[in-house]
Amino acid sequence: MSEIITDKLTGKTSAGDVTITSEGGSATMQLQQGVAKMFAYIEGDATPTITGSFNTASLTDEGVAVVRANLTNAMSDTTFTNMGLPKESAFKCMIQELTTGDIRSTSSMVLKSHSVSASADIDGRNYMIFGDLA
Amino acid sequence: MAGKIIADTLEHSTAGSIATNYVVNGSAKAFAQFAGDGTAQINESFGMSSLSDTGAGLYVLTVSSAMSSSDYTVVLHGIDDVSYPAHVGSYDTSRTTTTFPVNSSNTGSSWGDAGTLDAVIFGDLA
Repeated sequence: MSEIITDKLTGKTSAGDVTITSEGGSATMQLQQGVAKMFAYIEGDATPTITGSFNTASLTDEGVAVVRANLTNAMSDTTFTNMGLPKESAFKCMIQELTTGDIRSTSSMVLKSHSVSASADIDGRNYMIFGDLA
Repeated sequence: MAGKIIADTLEHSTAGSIATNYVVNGSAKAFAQFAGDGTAQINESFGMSSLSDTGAGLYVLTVSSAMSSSDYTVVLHGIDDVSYPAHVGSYDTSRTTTTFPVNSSNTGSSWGDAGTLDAVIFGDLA
């Protein structure tokens, strides 16, 4: 067994490009691209609170059902890939991103939760971002 | 290639250590954020080579490097406006090691284009 003890990995040819070999051994991919740039588990419908997170500085409760997660380190642009999964025990729910009003920025993602018939606060939320950091 | 390190563990001075198989196995192998209505197109992606619009609410994403089997994990997210939340899924059975379907519905009763969609896949590359 071998072990690397380091605080930082930097590509030699290109600083932002460290290559890893695939499980099957026939392909390679960029390490930086494949890792999540942000995740957060958020509990609480009345007062949303971060209970576990990475690269998440704070939350902004933007009204009924809308919670914005603010990033510690910003993304390079607003075309990042983000994911959300809702948690609710009292009713069927879903979560969506809006195209107007409460919308994403390079330093935040924001999702709105719904019951079957209306906007609704929910018990918990899972947020995740992939893409390029600034 | 500039160099190669073969190691089983990475250790940070304060943040702990991780076995490198978690780095390889746990990394997303491809992701895409793409526009679903009008002219469907990829806005930003990694490990994706193309997007096909095969009908209302029906898309196929093709990855750059093949997966080892078709049993990989697909995670999807839909974006649309306030009036009709986008429902998304990968319901079609035509998944291969290089392509997978993304389906969206903006009414809940039939396939329909969603404003924007996100897709991430995890699993073993070939």
